[in-house]
Amino acid sequence: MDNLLSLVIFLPLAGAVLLLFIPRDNHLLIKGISLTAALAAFVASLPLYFNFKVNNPNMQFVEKYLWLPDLGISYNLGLDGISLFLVLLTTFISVPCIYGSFGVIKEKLKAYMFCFLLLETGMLGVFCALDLFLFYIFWEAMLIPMYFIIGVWGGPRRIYAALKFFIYTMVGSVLMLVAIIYLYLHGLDSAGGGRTFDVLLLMEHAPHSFPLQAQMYMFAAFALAFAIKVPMFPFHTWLPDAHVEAPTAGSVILAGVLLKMGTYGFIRFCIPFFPAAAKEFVPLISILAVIGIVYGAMVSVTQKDLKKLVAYSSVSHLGFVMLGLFALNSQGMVGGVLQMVNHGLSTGALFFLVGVIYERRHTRMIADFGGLAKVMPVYWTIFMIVALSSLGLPGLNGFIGEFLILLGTFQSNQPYAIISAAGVILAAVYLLWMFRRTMYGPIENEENKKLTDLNLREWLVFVPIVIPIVWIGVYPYPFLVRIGPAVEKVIALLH
Amino acid sequence: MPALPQINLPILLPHILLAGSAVLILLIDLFLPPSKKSLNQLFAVIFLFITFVVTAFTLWSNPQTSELLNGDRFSVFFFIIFVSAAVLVIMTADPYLRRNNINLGEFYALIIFAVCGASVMAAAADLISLFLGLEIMSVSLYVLAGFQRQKPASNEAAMKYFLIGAFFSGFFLFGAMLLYAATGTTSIYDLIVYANSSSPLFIGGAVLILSAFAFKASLFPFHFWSPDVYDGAPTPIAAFMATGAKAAAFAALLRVFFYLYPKMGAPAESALWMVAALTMTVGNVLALAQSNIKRMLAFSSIAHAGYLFLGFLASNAATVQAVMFYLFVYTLMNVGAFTVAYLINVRGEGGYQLSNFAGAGMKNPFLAIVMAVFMFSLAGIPPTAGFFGKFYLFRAALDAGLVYLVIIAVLNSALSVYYYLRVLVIMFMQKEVDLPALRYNLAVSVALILCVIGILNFGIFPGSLMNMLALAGL
Repeated sequence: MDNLLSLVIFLPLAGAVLLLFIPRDNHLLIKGISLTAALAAFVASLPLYFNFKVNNPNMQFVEKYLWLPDLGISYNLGLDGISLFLVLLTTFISVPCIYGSFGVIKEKLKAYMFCFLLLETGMLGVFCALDLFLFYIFWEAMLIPMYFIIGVWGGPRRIYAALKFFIYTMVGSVLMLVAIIYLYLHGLDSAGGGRTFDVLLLMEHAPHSFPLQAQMYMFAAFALAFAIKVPMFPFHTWLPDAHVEAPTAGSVILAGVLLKMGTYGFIRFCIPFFPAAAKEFVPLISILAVIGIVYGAMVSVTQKDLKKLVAYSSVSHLGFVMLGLFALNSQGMVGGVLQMVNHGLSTGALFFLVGVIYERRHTRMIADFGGLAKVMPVYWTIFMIVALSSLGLPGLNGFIGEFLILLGTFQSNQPYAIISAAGVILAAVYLLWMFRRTMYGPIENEENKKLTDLNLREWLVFVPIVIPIVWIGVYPYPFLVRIGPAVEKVIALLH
Repeated sequence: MPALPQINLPILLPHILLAGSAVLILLIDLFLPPSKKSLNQLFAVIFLFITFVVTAFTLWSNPQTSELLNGDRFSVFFFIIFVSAAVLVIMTADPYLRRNNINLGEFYALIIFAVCGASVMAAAADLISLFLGLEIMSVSLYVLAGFQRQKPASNEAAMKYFLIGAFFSGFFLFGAMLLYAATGTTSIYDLIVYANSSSPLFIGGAVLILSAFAFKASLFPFHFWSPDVYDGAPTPIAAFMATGAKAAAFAALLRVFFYLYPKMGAPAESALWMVAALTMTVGNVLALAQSNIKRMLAFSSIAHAGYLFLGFLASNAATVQAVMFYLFVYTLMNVGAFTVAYLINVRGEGGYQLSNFAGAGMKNPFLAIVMAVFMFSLAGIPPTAGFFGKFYLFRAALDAGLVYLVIIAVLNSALSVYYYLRVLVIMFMQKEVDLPALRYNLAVSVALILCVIGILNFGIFPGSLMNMLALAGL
């Protein structure tokens, strides 16, 4: 199949277009079509894993068609070890997101599913685009459905959260657009001129085309857009609002995939295009990452709202990812990429778990719960696995990622590694303390006695997510062997 | 005895056809009974279409020039913009006219006269013919702005527009006189040849003419009239002024100053740099504060004039194409936005408060969705044509080294997202106020669908339009 990537990217869109022709009251058909579209995208993405050539650092499944030849713009897609698992994560997590929304979203179901499928196409496009212009289009277009998902189906302060999300992201992106155009105009100067948006060509020539000063400015413009998306401290303030107000599936996709677009941008664009500037920026970014790790964890400890707690824990976890990427060595960067996937799985699952009790009790306050382990044993088990994965228990996925990151950072910069190791302890504090307060102790609230355990739909959401959590923890080799060569290629550009 | 000037029919044909159509509509209107006045709409669209086809087949394939008027592809493409704006406005105006009891044939005739003036402006090869076009267009618009003569706000708009417009016509003439004194010619091409930046007469004349164009394009500091006039004028006319008339101003600006501006020297460069920066910023910042959608669109149209002016300042090969591309797609999204605004505003004038739109999205999904496309396109978010237009302009400007101005422009467009999205927030996310049923006819729906198709098509596949524009340079 020559157009496998396009197929994966546009299957959800096709589902969305099909939805337009379905009457809006026919909920059964709407659910069927959207689930089929998401499942089809996932199934179509499986060959990407199986046919992926291990040890090949280059782009695979490449598709290239001229789009606007006069401007050097092409429809150019490809996949390497860095993007492979992010694509798989996206197609994978979208299925439970759509499935998990059944019965939860009761109003305007058709519009909701339409937005969700559009969002999936946008995210996949971001990870696959090898043309900066195409990348920017997916990057921005994806804001529209997310904006509506938060703003229409969200909680009480949804309008504020949706606007804040949109404008924060937009401010970062437009400056990136300037840098993208500048890169387009001058990126090939060292190769004797010409203009292109082709990412691979730019990776090859851009590092030599600009003096350090210019590289620093352009790095900063790209980095701002990505740092807002990650979000790095101090650009994180949109995240708790967006997470708390978004519907459950929206939070899952936000934490699971959207935030990764920021970290992905750093390793795919920022570092390879401007390696000299990247080295200069290591101290600043690492310090912000460490602050993010500790600050996010400490704020999480104090949260009374479960969803806010998980949201702030994302700030902390993504600080780890950033720290790993900017260790600029193989262990750190591989760990960073793997940790993106891990965080997507475990934080996604945490948001689903919060959603489960929120749907039953319509509250997310830790104080309203207690003793749930007695009435919801299955829920308790899954919560336990996910929380342990999130805090990095050996044998589960989080450990592998955090260990590699700390290993890499220790080699490049010891103080950061030592401070951020404290973040791991703090993660245990906020997760386990929250776990104790919700799961153990006497059941003080009468309503909690009537809680039912997971139903079939929720089983089907959690089981698929727990499998890779354990798999990566026990046997990470298939992941590392695919991520490794691509990361080595980025590192080679740094020398 | 001087020989009679040669009449170059192909060049004159579009203008003759337009003027003829307008007169014909006035005549037909005499014989239409009051209940059949809407037929004028049909005739106007048919006449414009015929003119369009004739022009496209004669001048586009066989461009020509003459002393007073050009028939080059540049003018033909602007002609297409004007005709598109007029056709869209005419197709969408009918419900508005009926609602306000101003369903008269003159309305259509005057719009076509305005198009005629605009196309003379775009085609002018001489300051004299440019002035003729400017006046034909302006006078038609003065009348149209005051078309709801029972309504004080409409009268005020007409009066304001007329007084300031007359003032700037004086500027234009005075400037042309100074240029004539400096160079001994009024021909635009000779002006470029004889221009000499050390002559104060030349600089003075150029600045005066530039201000006249800046007024028509509502550039800072000559933008004050536009919110009041747009607000008071009938909404379809506001839409035409924001698109067709603005395009005419930019056509004239490009025609006269594209080659002249580089000769005006460094002081002019930095002054105009400030004009572009302030136009974008003032437009966007004031749009943020508006609670009336018509005024918001008026300020946003000032901001868009700023982006266009930025493209003009780039003054390189891509400039003309980028500006024309943007004006064309801007016409689609802006006429669409004004139309949805007045359709939803069933409470009559003064009801353009944004709060009256609450929840309109749930009751009128079609209007709300097309409005969403217009707003995203105005905000410049892909995959709409608004994004591609902005990208094209910014690229031209960056290529010319206007890095700081482009940064100001992109920050401005991030700012603008706030007020465009607010419309969608109100339409989709707020509880609905109780809206009476909205009535509009097939023509309106068709026009809106055409706008949406255009916006998405030129946003994803801008290639066809770009290829066309590559032929239409100056």
